[in-house]
Amino acid sequence: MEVLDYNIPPFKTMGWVSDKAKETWNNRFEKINGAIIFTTLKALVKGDWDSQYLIVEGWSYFKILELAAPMEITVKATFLGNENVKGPVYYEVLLTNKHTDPDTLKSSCCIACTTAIREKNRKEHVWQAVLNTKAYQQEGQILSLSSGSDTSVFWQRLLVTIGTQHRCSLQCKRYASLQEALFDKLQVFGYEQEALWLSEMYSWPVEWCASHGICELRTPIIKLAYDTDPTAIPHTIRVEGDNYPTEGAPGKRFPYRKRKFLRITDSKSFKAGLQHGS
Amino acid sequence: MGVELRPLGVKCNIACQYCYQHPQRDVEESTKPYDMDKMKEAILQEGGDFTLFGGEALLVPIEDLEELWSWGLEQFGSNSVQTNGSLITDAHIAMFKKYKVNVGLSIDGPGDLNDVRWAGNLERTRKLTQQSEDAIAQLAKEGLKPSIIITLHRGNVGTAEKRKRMGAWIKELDQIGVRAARLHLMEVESESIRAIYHLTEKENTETLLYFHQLESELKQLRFDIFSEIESLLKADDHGLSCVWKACDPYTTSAVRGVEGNGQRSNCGRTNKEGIDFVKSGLPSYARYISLYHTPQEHGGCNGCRFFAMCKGHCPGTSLEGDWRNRTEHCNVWKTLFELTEERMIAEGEVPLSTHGILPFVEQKLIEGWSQGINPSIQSLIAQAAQQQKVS
Repeated sequence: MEVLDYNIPPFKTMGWVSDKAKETWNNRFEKINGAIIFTTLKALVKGDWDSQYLIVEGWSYFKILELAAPMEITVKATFLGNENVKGPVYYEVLLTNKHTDPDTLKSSCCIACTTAIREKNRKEHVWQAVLNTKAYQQEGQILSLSSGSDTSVFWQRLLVTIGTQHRCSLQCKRYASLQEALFDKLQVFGYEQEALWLSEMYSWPVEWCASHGICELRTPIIKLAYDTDPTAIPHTIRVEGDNYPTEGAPGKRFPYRKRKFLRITDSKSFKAGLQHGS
Repeated sequence: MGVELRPLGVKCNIACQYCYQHPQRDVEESTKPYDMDKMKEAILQEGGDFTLFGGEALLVPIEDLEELWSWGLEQFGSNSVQTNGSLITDAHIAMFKKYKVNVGLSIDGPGDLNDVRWAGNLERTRKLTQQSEDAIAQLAKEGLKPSIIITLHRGNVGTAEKRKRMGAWIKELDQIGVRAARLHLMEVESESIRAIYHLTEKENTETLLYFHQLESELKQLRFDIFSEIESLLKADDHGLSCVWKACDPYTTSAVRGVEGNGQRSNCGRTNKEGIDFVKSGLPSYARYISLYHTPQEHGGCNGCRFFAMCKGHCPGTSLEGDWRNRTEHCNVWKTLFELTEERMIAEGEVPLSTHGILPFVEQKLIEGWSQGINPSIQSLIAQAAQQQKVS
């Protein structure tokens, strides 16, 4: 992966596939975010977890600060990006309960990976994470992953996600059990619906494509562009999904559901025109 | 910069082989009902006059056209429509006059030169082309002065003979009173279309230069791209086409689309997925910061002295269909900039591309884009002049 020597300032721009998709899922995103935050805090208070990492957007960070204080939860945040540059704000938040000292926590492969990537001033690590994943297929600069991989990392710019910012592989056992624990706890604390929505989203097909410092993430209901490391050529990751949402749009390319017959360009009359022109 | 109103989405009575809206047509539901109230409300919210657009705008039933245009006249004082012209009737012409409708007409040439604007079979194609030609003549006769959009491809300018016939036709249009024509380099949506219709860089350049030469022989008809390039080199970017203005494909500020159900949409030129994405909120200029820094061999514009003026051109025409790259027509535009630059220098002028102020302009553009602002070159020149005055 050849990385060029410049930096795109932080930005995020989104396009929903339809007003209907926006109306349905924007609200669900908010509910999922709230559910993950409340569940994590409750699990820490209850002692199910001693500590937990969350990746959150700016407004969620302030909500966490407000909620954590009366629960005697310590919040240690790392600003993701450059505080002097205008743009969307993200934090990696380390939450610890009153029995745990955040400075004496054991390291793990994810923490080590995150530290190493930050030292290199890199914004993302997903390409390498896929290369470290056992079951992927490569065709040029396109990596394809089967479903069953951890896709939460792709949603970090849209949703609150659990775990550190970077991970060394997308089929890490530690991460898989962390996700499993999250889904269990969401249900235990009364967020069954949110757990179902989140589980559904993680099973959709997703495409991540970075080029020239701009990443374009495509999902069946929304696409977004944001700043990433400036690669000379496009690097694409495709995660095959198991499900496709009702609000998902049909489209001409991955990850959108393709029509078997393209109404115009597959038609006989259109082909007759091509024949006439050639 | 107005609103493009698409009551029937991209529905059209013909299927031009190269149409940039085919990705949408291929996957969208065939017909969507429209809602007059929602469309009007959306137009008012967008806060500007509108151009009735398609697909083919005149597929909208005439009574609904009348309702839209009478409302448009009342609200904004005039109306606009972009059409292929094949459906224009006397009743439409009467309404164009009554409701002050400016007519833009897309046609690639007379007779067989327009065959690429295919209507299912050859007979129907030629018949509809004739109807479009008749409509232009009728509009001109009625003093309605249509403006024309011509897309360049092998079908109309692929040989010297075809180019000559196009030239003769343009002269006829000039004679009957057409004043403005826009030349489009073909935007390619599939490799089969590229193989059959796309001109090489050399052919595109030669064709544009041919039309530039032709312009001097015309009484009143003008092709805007040549004057726009000269304006850019004179650091005057006021009122130019959207392709020179750092368009963000997620917000396409020059095209504020309103669909039949009131949904806001973007310019279809950047739509490669076939999905009419809902317009994003605030624009981002990341493409332009990225192009400025990315080496040309990787699809960027780094080091190009015309970058501040061209800005990598329309994201819809980007290399590999990826808006993060510069336009695939880069060398064509570069040649036109070079030739105009050369002429200006010969005439004793100093084009922006060779002017000492260029690094300042580039730096200020990058600063602005980094903060989500898209400054005009004119405003930056004024700023520099002000600073000089103060110091």
